[in-house]
Amino acid sequence: MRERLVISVSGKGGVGKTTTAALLTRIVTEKTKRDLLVVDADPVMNLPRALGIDVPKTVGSIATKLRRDIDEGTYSGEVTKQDVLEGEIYEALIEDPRFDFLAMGRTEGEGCYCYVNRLLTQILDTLSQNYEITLLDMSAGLEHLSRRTNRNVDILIIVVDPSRAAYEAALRIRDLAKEVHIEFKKIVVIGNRFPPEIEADLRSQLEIEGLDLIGMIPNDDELSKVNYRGVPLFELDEESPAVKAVDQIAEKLGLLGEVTLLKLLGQE
Amino acid sequence: MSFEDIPVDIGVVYEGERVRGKDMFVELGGPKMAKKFELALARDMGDIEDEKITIVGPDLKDMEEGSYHPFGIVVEVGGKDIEPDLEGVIERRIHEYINFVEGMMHLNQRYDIWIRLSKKSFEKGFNSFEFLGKVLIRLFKSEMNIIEKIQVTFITDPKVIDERYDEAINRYTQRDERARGLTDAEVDTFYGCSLCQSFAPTHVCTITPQRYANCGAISWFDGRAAARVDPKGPLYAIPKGETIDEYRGEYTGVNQAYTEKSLGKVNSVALYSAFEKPHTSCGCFEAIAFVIPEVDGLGIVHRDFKGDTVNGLPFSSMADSTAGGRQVPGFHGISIEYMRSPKFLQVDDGWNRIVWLPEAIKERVGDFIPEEVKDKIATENDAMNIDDLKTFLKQHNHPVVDRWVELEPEEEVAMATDDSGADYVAVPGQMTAMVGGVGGGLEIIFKNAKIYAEKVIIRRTQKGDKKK
Repeated sequence: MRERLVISVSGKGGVGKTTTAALLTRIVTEKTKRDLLVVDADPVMNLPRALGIDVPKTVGSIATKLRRDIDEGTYSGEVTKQDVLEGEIYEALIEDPRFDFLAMGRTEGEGCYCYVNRLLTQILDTLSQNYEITLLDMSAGLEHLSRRTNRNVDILIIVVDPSRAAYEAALRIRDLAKEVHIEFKKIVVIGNRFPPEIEADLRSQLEIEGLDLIGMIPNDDELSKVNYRGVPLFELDEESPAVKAVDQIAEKLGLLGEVTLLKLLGQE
Repeated sequence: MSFEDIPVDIGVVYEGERVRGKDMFVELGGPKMAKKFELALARDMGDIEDEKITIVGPDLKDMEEGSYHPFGIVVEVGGKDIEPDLEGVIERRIHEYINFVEGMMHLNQRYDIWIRLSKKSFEKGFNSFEFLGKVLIRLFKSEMNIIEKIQVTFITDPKVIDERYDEAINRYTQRDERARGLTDAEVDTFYGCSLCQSFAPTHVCTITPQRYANCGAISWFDGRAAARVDPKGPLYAIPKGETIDEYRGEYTGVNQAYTEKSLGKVNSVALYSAFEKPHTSCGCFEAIAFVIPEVDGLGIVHRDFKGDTVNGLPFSSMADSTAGGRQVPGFHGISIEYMRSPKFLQVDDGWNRIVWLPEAIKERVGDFIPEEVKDKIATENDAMNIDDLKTFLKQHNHPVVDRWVELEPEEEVAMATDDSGADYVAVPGQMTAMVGGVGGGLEIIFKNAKIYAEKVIIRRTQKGDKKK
C-alpha cells in the first residue's frame, strides 16, 4: 500500500488554524499530485469558505439523524447501522477535483453517542487510509485530544499567535498529548502574525520547551483582504507573503518532496 | 480457489478501498440513480442453473467512461439447508465480496447500493460483469458451504430494473417484519457490549433480539455484524447457554459473561425485570424505569425530559442512583426500543406495572402499549405528585390498584419514621431488602431513599408478584 500521513492542525481559538490548513491544502494540491483528504473537525466550520466549497451535509448531522431514527423506531430491522453510516458518510464526502473534503460538524441532542462515535472512528480510519495525506483542521480547545480522536496523527501542528494565551495553549496541547499517550511522529509550532523582531525570542523559548518552531506566517494585508471578503484562499496571489511562508513550511515538513516524506515516515 | 482468469487482484486487502470520482470508470447505482437494488433469494434446487451468469442490459464494455447507470444484482442460491431466513446474511456478503475486487467500491445495501469501478481496473481488462459474477460465485461457494447451487444476474437495463424493483422492496419489507418478530428463544447467541465500561466498569450490556442495548443504539443485528468483523472488540458474542428461566430471561451463558466481564461483581441477571437481579445500567441509558413505592408501580423518564418527574426528582438525579454498572432493584436503565419489545419488563408485569411516563414517550411508543392499559398510565399532564398519581390511577382503575387491594388489609405491618431530618444516608443500590421467611417473608422498602429515608415500611410480599 501507499504511504499515508495524517496531519492535524491545533491551537487556541482565533490563532489562524483554518488559514494554515487552507494554505497547506492549496500548496499541496498545487505542487504535488498527492491524494489529499481535508477534514474540518471544527464544528464552527470556517474551512469550507476558506477553500471555496459548499457543505450540504456534515458527519454530525448524519449521526444526529441516525440517533433520531433509532429513537423514533423508524430504523429498519435487519440492516446494520455500521453499513448505513458508512454509506452516508461516503455520500457526504465532497469530491473536488483537487482534494476530497469532509466536514465533521456537530451532533445535536442528548443521548448516548458511544456506539455511533465508535462506528464513526472506524469508518474515518478506513477512509483516511485511501489518501496519501489527511489534513485535519481541529477545533480550539482540547476535547479532541482527551477523546483521542487524534490518535492516528503523524504530525501535530500547533499554531500560535503573539499572545500569552496561545503560547500556553500550545504547551497544554503538548502535555495533554503526552498524558493520553498519543504518539506523534512530530510536533511542530507555526507562529502566525508575529512581528519579525519577536521571532528569535519565540524560537528560543519553544526550544527550551522542546518544541520545534517550523515556520512563521507573517502579517499579510492581502490575506486579510481575502479573508475579509470571504473568498477562497486559492485566489490569493502566489507571491503573497503568507502563501510563500506556508510553501516553505510544507517543504520543511516534507509534504512536497517524495524523499523527505518517506524519511519522515521512517520508511527510507 | 483461483482467480487467475480474472484480470485484477481479488483479496481482503482491497476492502475499504475508495474509488474517487476522478478515478472512476463507471458508477452503478448510487445517489444519482433513483432505482437500484441487490437481492439474495433462496430458491429450490431445481430452479437454479448452477454457476450461470446473466447480464440484462449493457455490459461494462458497452458503457461510457465517467457514466452513471441504474443497477440490480440478484443472487439466487439453493441447497438443502438454505432457507429464506438466511437471505439477509447471504445478501450482505455481496458487499464484502465486491469490495474484495481491486478497483471496485461497494457501499450500502438493499435499495441503496452504490458501486464504482476504477479506470485502472477497467484498463486492466475487468470489462465485463462476467468477471464479477465468477468472483461472487467462487467466493460464495467457498465461504458458505450451505450453498450448493448459485446463479447471478446483473441488470443494467432501466426497464427491467423498474420491473423487478417492487419485488425487491417487498422482500426487504417482509424481512424487516421477520426481523422485528425475531424472539430471544429463536437464537442461540446474544451479544455483549463493553463500550461503556470506562464509565461503568462492572456494566455488561446484553443485547438480544428483544432487548436492545440500554443506549438504544445497538440492535442484535448490529451486534452480530460487529462481532463477526472484530470478535475481540467491545462487541462480542455471548453464547446463550442453558435456559434457566425463559420467562425471566435467565441464561447460563449470560450469567457467565457477566461474571467474566464484571470480574465477579455481577453473577446472575434476569433480563426482563427491573426488580429482581436486573440487568446492569451504564451511564448511557435512554430512559429509567423507577419504582414509585407508594403505588407499587414503575415510572419511566427519558433523558430529554426536562424538569422534575412525578416523584419530585428529575432524570439527572435518578440517573445518579441508576448508573455505574450496578444492579439496582427498582432503578433500571433502559432503551426506548426496549419499550417496544413484547418482553418489556415482563417479569414485573410489563406495561401493567407502568404508572407514569412522559407524554413524548407515550406518543413515541404508543403503538406498543396494550390498548387496555394505555389510557390508565398517567403523564406529566395528569399527575405531578404522588397524591395526584394515586387519585388518577384509582379513577382509571389501573392494574396496579389491584395490588393495593390485596395488600391493604395487612399492608403496613410496621412503620418507622425518622423525623430527625439532619442525618440521612444515601443508599443507592439498596432500595429494598428481603428478610427471609418461609412462604413470603418481609420486604423492607426505603421510601425515597435516593436521597434519604423518610419512612421505613415493612410489609408482606409475594401477594402481588405474579409469576407465570
